[in-house]
Amino acid sequence: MTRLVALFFALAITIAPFGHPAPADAAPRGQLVAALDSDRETLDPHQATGTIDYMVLMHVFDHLIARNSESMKLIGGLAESWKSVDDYTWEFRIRKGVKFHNGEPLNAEAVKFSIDRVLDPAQKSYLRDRFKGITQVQVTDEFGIRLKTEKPNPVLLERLTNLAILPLKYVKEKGDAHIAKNPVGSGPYHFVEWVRGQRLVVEAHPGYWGPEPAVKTLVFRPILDVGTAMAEMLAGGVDFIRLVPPDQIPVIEASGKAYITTAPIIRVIFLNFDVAGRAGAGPVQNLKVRQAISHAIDVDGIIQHVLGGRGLRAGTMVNPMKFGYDASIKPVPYDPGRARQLLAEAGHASGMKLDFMTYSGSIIASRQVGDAVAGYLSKVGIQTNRQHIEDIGLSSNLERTGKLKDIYLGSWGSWSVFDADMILYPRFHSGEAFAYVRDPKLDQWLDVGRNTVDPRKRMEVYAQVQRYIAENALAFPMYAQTAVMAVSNRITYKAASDETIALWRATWKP
Amino acid sequence: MRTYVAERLLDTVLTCIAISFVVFAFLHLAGDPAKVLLPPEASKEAVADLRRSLGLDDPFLLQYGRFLAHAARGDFGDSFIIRDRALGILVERVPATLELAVAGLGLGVLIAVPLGIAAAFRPRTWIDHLASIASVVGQAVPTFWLGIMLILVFAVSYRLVPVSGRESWRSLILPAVCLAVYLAPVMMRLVRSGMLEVLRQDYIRTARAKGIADRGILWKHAFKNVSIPLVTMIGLQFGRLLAGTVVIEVVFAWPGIGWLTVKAVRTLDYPVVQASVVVLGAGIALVNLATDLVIGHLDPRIRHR
Repeated sequence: MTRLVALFFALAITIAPFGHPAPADAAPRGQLVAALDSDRETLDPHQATGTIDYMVLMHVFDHLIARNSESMKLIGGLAESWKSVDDYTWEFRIRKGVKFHNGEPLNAEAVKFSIDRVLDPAQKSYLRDRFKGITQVQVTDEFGIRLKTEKPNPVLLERLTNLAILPLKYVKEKGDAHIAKNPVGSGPYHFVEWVRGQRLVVEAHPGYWGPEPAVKTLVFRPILDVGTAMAEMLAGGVDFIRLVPPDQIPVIEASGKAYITTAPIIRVIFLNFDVAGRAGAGPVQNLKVRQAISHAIDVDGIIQHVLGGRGLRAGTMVNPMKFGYDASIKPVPYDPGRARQLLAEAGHASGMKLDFMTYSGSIIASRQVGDAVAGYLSKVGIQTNRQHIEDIGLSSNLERTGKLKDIYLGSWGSWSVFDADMILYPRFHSGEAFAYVRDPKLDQWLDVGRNTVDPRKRMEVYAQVQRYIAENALAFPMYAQTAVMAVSNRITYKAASDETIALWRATWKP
Repeated sequence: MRTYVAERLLDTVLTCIAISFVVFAFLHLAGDPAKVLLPPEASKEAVADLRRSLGLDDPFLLQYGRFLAHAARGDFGDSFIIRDRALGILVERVPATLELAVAGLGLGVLIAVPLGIAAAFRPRTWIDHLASIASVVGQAVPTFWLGIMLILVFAVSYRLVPVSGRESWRSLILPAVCLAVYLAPVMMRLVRSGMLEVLRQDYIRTARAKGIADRGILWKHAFKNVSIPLVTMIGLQFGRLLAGTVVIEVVFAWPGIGWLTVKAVRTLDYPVVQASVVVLGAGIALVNLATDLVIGHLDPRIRHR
């Protein structure tokens, strides 16, 4: 059966369209400036740690697998076709005639080198843990590569969208430190200049194997303060802003200079409970308290009034766009009366106090959403000890090391991987840094989901996991976020659901 | 004189070592950088591996000793976060920080000194009132708000200067003004009260009686006395500005040291924090030394002591 399914997949994707769909313009021209909410840390795609580094470097580097910006389906990147030979083996055919920006030919050797480089423990790549199920990388011929995995690895293709292909000779000659500042890839843009803290400049690469982009020069500028980025946009200094807070949307819309483009993304916003007591014993280890909290918060109200309707109410931690989503799980209804009753049953009729952390970063209007949650909780008698952390590095550090007591407002973007595994495993499997749940039953199911190829079996096991999470209120999924980007009137660009910025798709307005 | 400078330089080195020890100790109490560096799904073995390779498993004193030995050669190691030499990352931001500090402080002095002198020379007149109102307003206005207002008016509405960044000398104008407005009030008040004090002295009255013109009294007799505390204060402020100005850097997207250091502390990026503390410590100590030398030049009593 699994063979049959694999064969079906192989046939279905063999004739894969181009990775970077076509703008119809002639020669690339002009310059576009994009404001980013953080600075780059390295330009070596195997060393970069943030989602946003990956988004920026996608302009310079290609991956074996890409994603269609409309349907979000996997399509061929540097691989023009692939098939699963058996549950442990994948074979890829690499596009012929592709050259890196320095003229070096892109072949199976370069692909093997890139995968091996990520797997090499000495590289300390952030990506290593995502690919270490790969036990062997074999070059079958000049444009053929075979990957063997330790266990069946159904998420491998999805994950390969994150693994950039580097030129073997160039990296070996120049060394790692040089690559980190002078990247050479095979993507639509080649690297021109990087001044840390100021700008990263790339230029459309003549002879790119895919369709030519419309914009010749892209400048990425780190502007940490969104107010400054907005002012730049009004003054015409910036053409693109990635995260626009709801209160700034009318400003953009009234400016006559730019417009808003939105897309539902797979990032899910939720309340995390310290079920396992990693940060110490607390009331949320009681099921009734967790259920009470879930009934106490009017998420639809928050979406309506805080987010201006931009957000999708979620009943499960798995985003509807992901493989493994179970639509039969409905959101917990808002019912403060029921919440009070549950609290009384739990022995907290006279109220209680909880630690509650929120942080700035990938959650749009996180402070306001946190205020609303605290407000709803206080209505049923739960007082909160609010703490807001401005820095995502610090909050993520506290989160990973198990220091966040009681509840916090969390978010999970899944590195744009559209599979249930990418949220359920790291957040609910015992021993994972972000997991505040310890449950052998969940561990067993999640292992099955991770190492089974048959999609039907995986769907079943993930449905089971999601039901179990809902029944035991192991987390309170609130909503799936909507990406809100501001784009200058000079260009046409549409936000995509994988949360990426892909400015090779931008076209000049006539 | 030469021994004096040598002694002060030795002081500087000892101070830097002491600071580095304190910072080193605090950072090690703050948490485990290995967990910050690895992806969320990283296994325990991966964390242990990284700890080993970063040398975090060794005893504290051994780690500190190793750090000192390397630091003496200007090697603070690679940043944990930005994969590059910690010292290099810091040093490449020094020009931007210096530019802003010099421009902001210079402009601040240019505002504060004339205003302070005028206010003292004509106390309880419109100029004195204006100066005191301006200094209260200047100090009360939050820097980030002023920054945004300056941007909206001069960069967005009138397009006279760029909104943010560091592309040309014009990019420096708004952040420097913003910094000057923040720094000027204290200096202005110092000049004003110092001048008022001096102008009441007998020798000023004598000079006036001798028929010396106002301008001569002002610069030759009065201001020279005020300049000593003023130079001291400028030195202190300048030292502080070397550490960067986080708010101004963020509002104007100015690539200075401040934000880099704050971020390094928050992400437990030991090498960058240590490099910045030692570099700043040395910078501040040098500024202090320069201040003392200038004061010595202004005031012979200090020089001859």
